[in-house]
Amino acid sequence: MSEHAASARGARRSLCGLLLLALLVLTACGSALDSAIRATNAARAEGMVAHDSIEATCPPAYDDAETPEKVAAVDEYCVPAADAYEAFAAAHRAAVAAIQTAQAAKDQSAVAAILKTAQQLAEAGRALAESVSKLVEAVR
Amino acid sequence: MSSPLELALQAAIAASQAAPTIIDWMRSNHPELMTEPLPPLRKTKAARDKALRRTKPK
Repeated sequence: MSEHAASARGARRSLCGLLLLALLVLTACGSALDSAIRATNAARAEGMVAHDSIEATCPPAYDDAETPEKVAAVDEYCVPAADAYEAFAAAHRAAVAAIQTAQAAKDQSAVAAILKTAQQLAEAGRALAESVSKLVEAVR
Repeated sequence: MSSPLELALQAAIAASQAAPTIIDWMRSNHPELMTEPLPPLRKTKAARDKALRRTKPK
């Protein structure tokens, strides 16, 4: 085998390796952000379901409460649900902002912020699901 | 037999030709971020305020 052919093969191999690496990096960058976008969009849809449940349940319950004690009884399940929803909405806003920052930066520097906001969104989602299920049980 | 330089140039040309296609493909597969914030609980807040006013001890 000539030295020339061997170096040509080596150059081709290293170029292919570089192209593969570039594609992998591009795919990885894209998928991290895409996953965050899909999760945030899904969280928003869940938030809308919670919003509609609270808005359908609490106003009639408050309308039916005729004494301060009855208002307080409605507060017991509607206030925690409303607070959990507000916290979830704030976590969603933070997640959107983190993704937009990452999109503007066009690099991976904002990934840590996305991960942090995604974790907060997940925690707020758990609390919201819990308080909405208590709300549904209370009015049943 | 092509020289390493020729091979490198051919690969660079092929990559530059493929790049727009790859970028288009990646763009078309990107989900769009829904930036609209979640709406406030207007009805619930209004109903609670009304109930508190209505049942306020005189």
